Amino acid sequence: MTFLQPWLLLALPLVALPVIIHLINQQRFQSVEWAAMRFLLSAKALSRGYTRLRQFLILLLRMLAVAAAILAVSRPLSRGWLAAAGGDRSAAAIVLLDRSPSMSQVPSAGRESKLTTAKRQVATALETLGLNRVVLIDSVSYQPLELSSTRAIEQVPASEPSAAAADLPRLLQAACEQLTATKSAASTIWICSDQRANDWKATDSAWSSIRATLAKLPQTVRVTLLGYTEPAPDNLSVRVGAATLEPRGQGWELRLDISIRRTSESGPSRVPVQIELGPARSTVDIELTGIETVLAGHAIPIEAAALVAGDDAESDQDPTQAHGWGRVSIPADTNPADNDFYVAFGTPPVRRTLVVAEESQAGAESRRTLSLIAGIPPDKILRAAVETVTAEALAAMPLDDVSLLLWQAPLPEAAAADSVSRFVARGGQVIFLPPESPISTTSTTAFDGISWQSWSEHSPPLRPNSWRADEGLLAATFTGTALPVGELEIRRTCGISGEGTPLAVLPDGSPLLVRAASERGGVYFLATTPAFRDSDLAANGVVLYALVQRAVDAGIAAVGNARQVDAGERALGGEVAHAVGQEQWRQIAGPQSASTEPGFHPGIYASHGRLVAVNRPAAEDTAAIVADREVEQLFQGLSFTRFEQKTGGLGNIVEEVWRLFLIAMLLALIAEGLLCLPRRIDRVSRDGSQSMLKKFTPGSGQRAREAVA
Amino acid sequence: MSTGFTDRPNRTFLDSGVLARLSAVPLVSRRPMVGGVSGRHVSPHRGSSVEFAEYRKYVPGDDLRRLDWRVYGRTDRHYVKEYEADTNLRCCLVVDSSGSMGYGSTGITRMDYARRLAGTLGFLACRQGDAVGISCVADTIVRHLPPRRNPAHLRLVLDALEQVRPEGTSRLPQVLHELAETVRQRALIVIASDLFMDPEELAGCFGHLRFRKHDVAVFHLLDPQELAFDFRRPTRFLDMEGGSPLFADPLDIADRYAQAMATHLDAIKGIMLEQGVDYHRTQLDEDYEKVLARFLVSRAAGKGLR
Repeated sequence: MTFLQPWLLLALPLVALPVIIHLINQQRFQSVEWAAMRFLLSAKALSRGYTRLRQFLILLLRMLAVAAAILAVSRPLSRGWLAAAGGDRSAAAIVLLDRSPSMSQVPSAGRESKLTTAKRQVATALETLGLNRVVLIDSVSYQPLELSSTRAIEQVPASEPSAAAADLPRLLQAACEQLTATKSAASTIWICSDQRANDWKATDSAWSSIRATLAKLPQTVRVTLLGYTEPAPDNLSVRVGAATLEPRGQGWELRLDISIRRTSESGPSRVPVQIELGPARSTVDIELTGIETVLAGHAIPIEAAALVAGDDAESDQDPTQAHGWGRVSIPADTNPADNDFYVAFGTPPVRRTLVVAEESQAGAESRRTLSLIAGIPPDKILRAAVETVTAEALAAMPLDDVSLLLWQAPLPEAAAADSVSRFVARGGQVIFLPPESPISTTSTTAFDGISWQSWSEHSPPLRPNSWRADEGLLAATFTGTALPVGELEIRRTCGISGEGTPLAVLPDGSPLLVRAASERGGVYFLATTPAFRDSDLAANGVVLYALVQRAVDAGIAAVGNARQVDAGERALGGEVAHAVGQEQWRQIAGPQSASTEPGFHPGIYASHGRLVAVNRPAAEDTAAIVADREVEQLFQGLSFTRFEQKTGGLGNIVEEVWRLFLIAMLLALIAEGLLCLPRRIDRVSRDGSQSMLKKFTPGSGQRAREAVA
Repeated sequence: MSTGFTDRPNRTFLDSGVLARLSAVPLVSRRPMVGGVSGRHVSPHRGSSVEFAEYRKYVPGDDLRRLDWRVYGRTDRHYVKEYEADTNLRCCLVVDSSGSMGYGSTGITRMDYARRLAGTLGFLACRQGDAVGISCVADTIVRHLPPRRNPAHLRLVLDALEQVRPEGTSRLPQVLHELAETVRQRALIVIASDLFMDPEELAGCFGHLRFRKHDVAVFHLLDPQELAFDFRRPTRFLDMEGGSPLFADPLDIADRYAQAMATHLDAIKGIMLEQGVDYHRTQLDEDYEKVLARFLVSRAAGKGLR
């Protein structure tokens, strides 16, 4: 317990005052010669136990009353050392606010959400502590926002719920930068979070650097975590895995993969799912089995007219391309943020692949092979287009509708490199294949930190002995069948230097396929070519076809005129879109928000005939939280305190509790008074009976004698 | 060992006015007394007083002067007319002189009060020709004067009363047993004590006295403070009979004390009623003249009881 007036605690020795007075009173006894000793001895023997207990209780209650009075005037605070910052009004408070959808959870009806509770409790605590310098860093902007008052936490748009996941390491890094920039004497970092594992990223390597940074700061930094880990019983979340639009007769048919996830199997066994497609609404009941239930390929016929993006007047897309949007909802439950899922759908875009190959025999062979493989769509309803250009011509080409770039030429430089970087940044995929002369005599080029080395022959040919079958371009099929990567014969490979993730490795340890360790991903380096001299990728074309088509699939998500993205800063095109200006995206559906963060709130956004459905990340639907012990390990070596908070509770984190002590003092005094009350004594009358019931009060003896007389 | 007596006689416990007023009421026995001389008390034997008792058939040897000739004339039968015999009284004053008799919260000690009661009664008894003796009792019989009719003997009794000092423990029950044995003839035994002793023992000794056909009267002397137990501060109680002191907060034990005291008084009263003792519970703030007047009148009202 901490106190706002701790110096008043110096008076605590006064607690011994009742005992001292009692002892002094004991010494002030009178001596009386007494004749009727036999009755005194009898009375004393009978009342010894009770008397001792009563005296002990009286003394104890008096001491309690004194102690409570002293503690009350010392202005105690309810939560431990939190109030230590209260003594230093100049100390700064940095509030890290988790605005992820899971914080919108309302554990039980009639209460407020975790985010609302967190904001209120932090604001009240900071107000109680008298801290005026409050900086808010939220999980959307990650930018410090200096607040004019503590109550502003509850009002600023930067504290509203969002659909984006939080990144706790990034929040703490922002806090570290803020602390480094400001030179306040002491600071407290308040983290308001529900400790979701996907937000905390406990295995992230950034945690160690955060710990080191905080430990090295010259000022005293305390970290307070307000954990809102109260589980949401019977929460359901809805998600649409895939939304494909297919022509069907005169109209279209939308196929949806709807998945319902629940936190426990004890909830309702059926849930009505409402699907809104423009003005049309339909409901489908889904029988829940297990934690997650998937309704795959739910078909909904759509009139062609409904697909016209009516409010999208500025559309400049191909009129043969149809697209639309809708919303899939489930009834309200404990978390309103995961009851809706927005869907943007459209006819699949052309799977456009750009092949950049050098002018050589091997290049021509590779170009033919790659063009052939990229030009065959995996489904008959899909269309594919392949275009071959030179590296020099690439810089002048628009890459907006390109999904995959197959680059078998020296690594791009200058303008070409910038063009490829922008292409990758917006979601495009690039597979680099080694050129005939990988090492330039004039300069050493690299892309995303990876460069080519020299060619090396393998005789006999090598077969890849390990590859990532769990994820990436060489992952096993949906049925679990592995790609025949091990059957490939690699006759010649080009060395790869730089930091990347090997997806396939040859027996001599050299990588065959590497994914560049870029932030966005989507950049691959294949150490050989499909030319017969280098490998049998062309002859054994399954692996190369799967590799290329998967890359196209990954890249086409950023190309289509209707796509679904996770909320976040890259939701609407990444940094480039932000830099160009957010005003180009208009929200045409979804909850209205006062904040100007279009990519962070769920809904349908439109721009230039393209529709984007922004939804919460899939990881937000899982209820896994970081264990308390694990959290403490993350802050090991720092002054860290974790408080488990109850959602919607009226209690505050820090509040003055002197009233409680005052009440305790009053209760102690009342109890002491009751114990001190004289017991009803039957006075002895003249005839020896105890008929005169009188309270034993001073002077009653005289009255008793008068009555007897 | 101190004898508890001084050599300086003082009669402050006698009030001539009280003596004069109480002289109007005779001290009578509730039971027939056997005395050596004629007196004003009922005797178990027939005698020659003016108080008619009964008619009895004449038997040879009876004095012919006592034959009632008028009855013979009416009925032709011989009857003898008998009269009550009046005799004198032996009054034994038993004064408890243990240490507890020195207590008094109203300006007068229990010993002083006992002196007044015993001295006045002794004077009244001697005045009407009864024999008066005294026994002062503590842990033993401190002073014992057997009853005598001699007025000079009264002076010795009063001297003993004046000189006795309250000290020591009380062995009243044992002494009463001794008196029951040593006082051979019927007597009026007047006891003045606080009776702070085991009621069972008292029941035994009073039964013994009753068996000896003594007329027993008890003045149970109690101080008002002993009944009210009116103390406010923690108090160290010093035993007046030499026991260990006791420290107590009166507020804690007042109720238990009152309960123990009431139980004791109830037991004493029961014993007195059972043994036919003339019991008078007396508080020290009462006027002893009224107490004695009530005592004498009640006994005079019961005169004739055989």
